[in-house]
Amino acid sequence: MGTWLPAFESLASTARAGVPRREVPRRWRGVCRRLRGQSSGWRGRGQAGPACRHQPSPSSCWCPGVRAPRGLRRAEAKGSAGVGEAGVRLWSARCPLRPRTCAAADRCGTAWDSRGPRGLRALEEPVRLSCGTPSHGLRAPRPRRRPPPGLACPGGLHPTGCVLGKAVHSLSRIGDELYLEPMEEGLSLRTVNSSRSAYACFLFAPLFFQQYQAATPGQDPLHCKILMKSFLSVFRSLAMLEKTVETCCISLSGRSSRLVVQLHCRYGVRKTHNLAFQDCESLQAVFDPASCPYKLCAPARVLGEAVLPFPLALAEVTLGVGAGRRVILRSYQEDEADSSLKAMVTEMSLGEDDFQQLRVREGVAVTFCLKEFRGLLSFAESVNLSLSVHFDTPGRPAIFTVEDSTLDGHFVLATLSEPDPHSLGLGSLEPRRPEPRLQAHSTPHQDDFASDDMDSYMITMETSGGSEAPWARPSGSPSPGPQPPCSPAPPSEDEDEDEAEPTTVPGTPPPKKFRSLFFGSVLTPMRSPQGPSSVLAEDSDGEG
Amino acid sequence: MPLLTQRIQDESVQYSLVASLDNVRNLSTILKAIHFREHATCFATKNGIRVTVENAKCVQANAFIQAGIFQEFIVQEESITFRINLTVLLDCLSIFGSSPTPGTLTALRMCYQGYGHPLMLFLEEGGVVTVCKINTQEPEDTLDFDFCSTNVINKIILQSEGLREAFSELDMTSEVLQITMSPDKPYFRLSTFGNAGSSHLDYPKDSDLMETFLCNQTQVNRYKISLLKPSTKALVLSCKVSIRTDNRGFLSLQYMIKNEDGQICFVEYYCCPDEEVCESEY
Repeated sequence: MGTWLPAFESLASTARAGVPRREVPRRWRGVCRRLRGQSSGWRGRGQAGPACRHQPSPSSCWCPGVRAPRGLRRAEAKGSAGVGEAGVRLWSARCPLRPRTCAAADRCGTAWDSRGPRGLRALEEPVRLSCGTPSHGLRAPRPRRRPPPGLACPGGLHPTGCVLGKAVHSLSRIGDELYLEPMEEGLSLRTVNSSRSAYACFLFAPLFFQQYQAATPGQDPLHCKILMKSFLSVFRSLAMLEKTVETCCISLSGRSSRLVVQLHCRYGVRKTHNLAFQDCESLQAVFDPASCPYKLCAPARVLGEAVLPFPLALAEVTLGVGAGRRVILRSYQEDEADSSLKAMVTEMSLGEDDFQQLRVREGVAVTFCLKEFRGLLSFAESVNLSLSVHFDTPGRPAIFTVEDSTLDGHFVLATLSEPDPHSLGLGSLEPRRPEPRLQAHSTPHQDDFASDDMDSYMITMETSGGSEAPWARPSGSPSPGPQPPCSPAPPSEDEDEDEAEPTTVPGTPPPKKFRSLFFGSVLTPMRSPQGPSSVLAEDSDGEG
Repeated sequence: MPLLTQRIQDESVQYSLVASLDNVRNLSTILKAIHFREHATCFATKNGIRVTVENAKCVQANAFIQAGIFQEFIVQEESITFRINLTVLLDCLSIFGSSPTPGTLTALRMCYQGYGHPLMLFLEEGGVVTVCKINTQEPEDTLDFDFCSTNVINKIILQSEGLREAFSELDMTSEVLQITMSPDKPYFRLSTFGNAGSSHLDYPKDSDLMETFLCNQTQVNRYKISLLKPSTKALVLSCKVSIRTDNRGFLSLQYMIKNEDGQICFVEYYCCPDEEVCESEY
């Protein structure tokens, strides 16, 4: 305790040079010395009492101290893992999500860095310089910018790190792995859930970042896959992120096999995360919002408030349009047997006026997972964007999109193939098509079969606990070679064999009657001469 | 003198330790900062009480509650030592509830008769008195870390605020926390090496968080993260923390804790470095 005294003294007066030595005579034993030191510390605090306050005699009753095990002293440290060579270097800054008004002005510049902020600066409040400006040799983070008061910026400004963090949080509701892909058109973050019934993708345009540098021309673009958990740990506390982080720098190098995320925080504190990643193929789901006949679009806040009353444990929600063109959100009841257990049905009805666009026929409804939907909603709400929902007949995936000039988010969620037509009380629903309409790009049915086999195979591998399995994903177009080791699909209650779900693997999200989406791997042309394999955005109804 | 009076007088004299406190939270808060093991050893002298908790013969936490914290503090013997179940003691101290009710304080009178006797706690809140007797145990030897300030190589005093988040977000998949203290870059670095990869947290020496930066020599030491993690409890309560390492790589963390009445107490953690590193290094 002795060192407190000089330590805090030095705070009060001018700094004392060198480590203070010899506060306590050495001959005293540890325990007593400590206590003595303590007392001197008290004096330091202004406690009364002369310096020679009597100390207990060490010999009388103090137990002789047991020596603590000695640790050897370490020599010089190995060089810590530094930032790898710049294969790809993405710099993000506290550049806000700009309001559309100024985004247009920024377009003229190639980078946000060069034009955008400068144009705005005149309008800004005085730049708030954070204390302890980092003095490292790297590019110094920009001082935090405040929103220009004159420009309407919905929802205020968000440091990109924060927006990025929120995007990661919403992605983490879906998958366990994050596919990170720096491309010319921006940085894409994607994930898919283990049962492949949900897929999410964010694309952050280069303008989103203060500086963005994708792979140099001629270089093989990098695709990397990292554990969601590890990436999430970087952005764990959003409140902290918002409060303390000033700049976030992400760099990816193939050579070091590390994804380096650097957070420059307040007081010059710098956090460096070197995350292990796996080289992988690009994850690509094929979907086309334009092909969906129905679309509704509303501010995220409207939808967010609409799902708020639903119980957290609720798995699925049905979205549809009822009489009077009212949009109805209703908790989904699994079937009659269960409804006695879950006695409560929550239903929210929204007027047409709340929607920016409502292109849905009355009586149409789809059911999808609420958890993922909430994930996207919370993101969209935090950046104050509108959410568009594109959907088709039940069973076909619903596509949720958020768009801004600098970012783009797509969530593709499977919908229940057989919603109870009466569940919504929406009157007559369109009779379910026994055969889902094939999309223009979908492959012949025979291939569907193969893909489905592969799909269930992969699902089994991923959930069987083998750590190797998920990484050892077959590449290229799926071959019908490996037969699914999984048990045959459990007998479905549907009279329609068509609707038999693939396999129920423990731990996968609710299979129910969801058609799982299949995502083939798309190889880069460099590696795969065949080019991208055909993929389906919906279940291929293997048993059919 | 009548026998009865005699006995009463005797009893009042017999207590070798009497301590009274108007606000029991001043004591319980600081004890919580070291509550990572069931049992604690208490030493009391005229200057105050020191409560020591140890784990794995590698880490030791000391809470110093100086006499000034108490409204009444009488020690009859030169020093008193006993071991006590800290969990039980804390449960008793918060017997009227651990969260403070505005306007009401729990007062405490603590008496100890001496070796072999229980520790008596009289807790009073709103006219209700609870008497707790906690059996004391044979005191055990505590470790002497022999952490001498003359051997201190590096010392840093930080605002706790800067470390709080770092400690609460420590990657617990990492076995060790590596602390680098150096007169040159990276000055002060906390590193973990977990499943997901490594992460480093650098504090520049000119940071506003840094109260004192006295590093003479580059030292890189690893400490078992499981042993250091409990110190987060003290960190959360503290306003400043002093981080020192000596020539053997032993770590001393001293936390300055302000109680509700604005008095300052100290909690100290000592930790041995991990030797594994050294083996791998050579």
